[in-house]
Amino acid sequence: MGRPAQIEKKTTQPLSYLDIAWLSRHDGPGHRVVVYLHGCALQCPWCHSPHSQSRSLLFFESRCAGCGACMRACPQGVHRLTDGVHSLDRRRCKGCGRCIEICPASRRDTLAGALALPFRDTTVDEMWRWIAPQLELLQTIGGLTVSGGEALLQADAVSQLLRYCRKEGFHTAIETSGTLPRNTFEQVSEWVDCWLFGLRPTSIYAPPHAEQIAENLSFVSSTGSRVIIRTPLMAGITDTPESLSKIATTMHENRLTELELLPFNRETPHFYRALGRNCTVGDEAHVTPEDLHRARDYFAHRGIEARILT
Amino acid sequence: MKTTTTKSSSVKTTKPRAKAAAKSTGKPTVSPFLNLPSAMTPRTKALRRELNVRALSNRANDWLSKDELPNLASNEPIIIRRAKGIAATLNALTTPKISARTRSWEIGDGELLVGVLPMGSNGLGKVFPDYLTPEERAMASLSNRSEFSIQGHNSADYERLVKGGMRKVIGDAQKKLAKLDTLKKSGKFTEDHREQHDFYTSVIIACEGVVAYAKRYAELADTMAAKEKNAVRKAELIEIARVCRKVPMEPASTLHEALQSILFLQIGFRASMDLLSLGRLDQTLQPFLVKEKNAARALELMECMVIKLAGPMNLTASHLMEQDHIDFGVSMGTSRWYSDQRGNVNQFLQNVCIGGVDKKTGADATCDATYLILQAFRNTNLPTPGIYVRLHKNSPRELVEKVAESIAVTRNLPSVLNDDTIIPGFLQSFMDDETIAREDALELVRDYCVDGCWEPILNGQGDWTFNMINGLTALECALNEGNTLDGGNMQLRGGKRSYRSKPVATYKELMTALGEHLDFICFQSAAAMYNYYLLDEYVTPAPLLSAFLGSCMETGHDKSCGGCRLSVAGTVFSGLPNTVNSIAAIDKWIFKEKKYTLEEVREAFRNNFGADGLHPREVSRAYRHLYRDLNENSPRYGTNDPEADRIAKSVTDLFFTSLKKTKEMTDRIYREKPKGSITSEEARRLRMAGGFFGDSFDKRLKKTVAFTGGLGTFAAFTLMGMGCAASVDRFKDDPLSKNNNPAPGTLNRSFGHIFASLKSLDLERCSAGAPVDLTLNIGADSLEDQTSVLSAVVESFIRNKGNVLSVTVGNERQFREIHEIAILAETGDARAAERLMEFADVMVRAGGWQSPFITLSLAQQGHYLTTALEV
Repeated sequence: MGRPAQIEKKTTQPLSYLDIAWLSRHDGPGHRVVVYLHGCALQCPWCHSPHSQSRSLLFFESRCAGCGACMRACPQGVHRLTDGVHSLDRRRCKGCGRCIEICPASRRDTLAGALALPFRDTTVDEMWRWIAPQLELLQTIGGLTVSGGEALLQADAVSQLLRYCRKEGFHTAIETSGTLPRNTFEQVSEWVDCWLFGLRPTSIYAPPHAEQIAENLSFVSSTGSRVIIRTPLMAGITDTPESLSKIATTMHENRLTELELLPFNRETPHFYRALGRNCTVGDEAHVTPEDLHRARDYFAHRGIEARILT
Repeated sequence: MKTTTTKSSSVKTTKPRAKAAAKSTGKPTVSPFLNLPSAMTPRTKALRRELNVRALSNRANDWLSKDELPNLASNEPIIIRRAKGIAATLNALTTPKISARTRSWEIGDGELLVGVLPMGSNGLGKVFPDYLTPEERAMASLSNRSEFSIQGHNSADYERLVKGGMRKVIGDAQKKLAKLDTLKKSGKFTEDHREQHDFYTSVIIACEGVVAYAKRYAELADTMAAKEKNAVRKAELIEIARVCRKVPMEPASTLHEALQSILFLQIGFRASMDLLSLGRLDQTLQPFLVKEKNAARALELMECMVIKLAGPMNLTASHLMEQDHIDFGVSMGTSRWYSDQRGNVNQFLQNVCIGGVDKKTGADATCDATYLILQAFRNTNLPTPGIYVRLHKNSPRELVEKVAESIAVTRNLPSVLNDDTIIPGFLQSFMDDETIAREDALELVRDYCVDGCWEPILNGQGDWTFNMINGLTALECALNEGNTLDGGNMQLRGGKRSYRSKPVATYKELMTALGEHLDFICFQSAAAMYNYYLLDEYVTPAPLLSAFLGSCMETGHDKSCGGCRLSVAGTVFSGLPNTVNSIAAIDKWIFKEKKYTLEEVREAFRNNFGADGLHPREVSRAYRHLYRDLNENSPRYGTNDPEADRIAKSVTDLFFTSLKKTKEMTDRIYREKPKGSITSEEARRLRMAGGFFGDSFDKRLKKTVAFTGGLGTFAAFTLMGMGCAASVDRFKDDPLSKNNNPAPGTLNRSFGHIFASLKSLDLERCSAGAPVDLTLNIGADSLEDQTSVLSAVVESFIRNKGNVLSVTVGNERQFREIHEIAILAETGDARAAERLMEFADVMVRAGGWQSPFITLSLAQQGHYLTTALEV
């Protein structure tokens, strides 16, 4: 288990990822290992993983001791320490990681330090070696979810990873925004046990591929795999009657009954700050428990079971 | 796991479901004991509360004083003096004047099982009458022994007790004595006959001491019943008196009698300073449970038993100094190993083992008593006694789920043993000895239980001893030409721990040198165990245990002089994770990348990475790059890294090779086996060179000695780290990794990785145990959710050929909060000491047993701050 040598065909397929969750209870049926892949086709303003869209250096100010080692190590002059204030010029950053290596409060392999790169590049086989033991452990109560970013931007790698899972009998799920061309869905669908399909019909941000999304949802609904619709619920953005109605209609059209509502994450600004960017969606998007229950009831009346993920 | 129900999980999987369905027997195991109450009764609740009150108080007065015991030094045989000491201690415990202080002869309100376990533990020591003469005592000190060196760490044949009663044992001894007396008259009385005569006499004295103790309780119950106004309680006291008059002398007929009989024997053992396990208690009790119609009543009795056995515990560290009874020679064997007293405060070496397979057929042996005992431990949730569940691939799913649920509720209990790994390894250990048939060995190992920590031992059928070796010491020797890296300014190269080896320049040379030093250290340890067997006879015989251990009654000899034909000697390798991490880093940066020289790394270890004198300790600027590469950018044990796992396997291979060589050499020298491999003269000369002047081990009795190997530290991970130079994953003197856990600081959030690394070690050969102690923060989800995760953990552990598993459910935040209060309390802050009491119920795994977190040393506590796995 966990040794790619057991797989008939070895691959050097590259894979770029943000992070791994080892025991998530909110990203697919049961208990999941979640691989968050880097890169996204969208730029949703409420995205709580903006680093999935960027290759820029992350800096968590509260963890910085202000020693200046990064400043000395960086050949590009990204870091400045002025009067004890650490500032960054990210445009100069080439992503070499020398500042992370020298920083006493950082490590290459974690986002928990003061400095970090938002992506880690590996191969499918290496990823498989890394996640297989935990999948083995969770095999009776969960499986693997590939999420993102947009999982299917790396469809070749994902299909390989899912094939490894199928060989071992591990349950698989893909979380997707549904915006990529249909052939990416066809490429992986054979090995997907469950789709976590994001729907976000809103007035302020209409994904540019509404027809593509509809086509893809129709396709995955026809595969016989389980489909769970997921929608982030944000006050004034996605909890509007129009938005909710569109979701219900789309689900009915595809004969889908499972919906998960994800209330706005108040920690969203965390990674924006680390990227030196502003988060344009703030606390005003927070939904109250009453709002959530109202939305749940709305769907219940339409024969859709909505679970609230907190 | 055998599945009798399908998983309720909504996960749609493909192959595993089909696999599971195929394995299902289709015949559900429905036990009335599967739905036992999950709360204590008002009676046991009150008893549990009372125990907590006592355990939080100063227990100094609960101890017997030496002044209250007779001095038994005389010219009588030592074994008889010792037996008299057992009887005298039991008598003192039930003397009204003494009990007025110690409360050792009383029946508490609502108690159904009676008797009070005398104070004493591995960490606090024991009280026993002096029985050695000044000359004996002086000479025994040369081998680091005293009256207190009795080892414990064993189990007894409790089935012999409940089935035959002491009457059978005493009767057998009397018959043997009569025969010996006849021989005496006939003039054919040999030295061996004299020894047998002394042994049987001492067995009778010790057993009668326990029976007399029980009778004293019968009298007390009678007196209390006469005064009791409450009719219900009066009836209970009358029943208690009846039971105490019957057992342990007679065979038990009911569950109540069986439990009381076992409790009395256990008190006898404790009074004789032998701290012993209770074996496979479910198998012992099951015949009595069949007759017990009332499951709730049975559960209440079992809860009473657990509470009784936990009697001497301390839940606060505030009054430990006054209870420190550790004396010269308490350490085991001939080693100078002293225990971590704080970590051992509540270590009574009394584990209960349940589940597993049937010794005759190998089929699953889970029974009603298994569930009964598990539920009683879950409901009472005490740090002692320890509870181990033996699981295997055919264990019922219900049992696995009950185990997981119990861990979720108690945050700690039970621990798990994997039959699928332990039984084959244990069997192989016996097969390395030519004196036993495979089928006999198979029955014995299928019936294994655990000693007081986690080492698999024979269930009341064999003698057991163990020793520990430190992997980091061997590695230091390999890196430093036979010297350790300490010694301060007084040494030149370092501590002279082993023979000089060649300098190493390649990975291969390093591993060769490591193997040589392991050979040396292993032999020293194992030969000391042989000496141990042959020395105890003259200092610490154990007549009460021998009466209930293996073949002693048959051979007429105490276990200390070879009366028990089966012996298991375990060698435990400590610090594997640290050893592997250092070798992996050295291999990468010195031998492969050639970025640093061995001398640079050795000096960094020797100089503690420049951290000495810094508070808090941190790597000095000079070593920062080096440290970073060694510590962070190297393969790590416990992360499923192929390179680290390969090295871990190689180190473990070296250890087992050393153990095999050691077994062969000690067999030749001490046992003159295999026949023809050595002459008696040569073997004797070699034994004498080692300081032993006695006969061959096998001269008196045909004996089978199995050598088992294990990997772990027990609670000694702090103590064993002291004296070790820095390694890539710890500063000088810092604790070793606890058992086989990844070293603190190993970035790892997947417990699956730990299991995968363990699997690569081939743990089937670790028949002396190889535990991993997971500390999991599984959040505040529902009990059902936690049970589901913990079931998956346990099942994966079994599937992946894990060996011994303990789980502590806890989170780093709470450990840190308590630790910070404990630091204040240690500085004398009375308010902090008082606040600590609020956390008396937080239990953790102290490496070999459960322990209240607040009673641990600060160093032990510190370990938990960096090892909790967030999931």
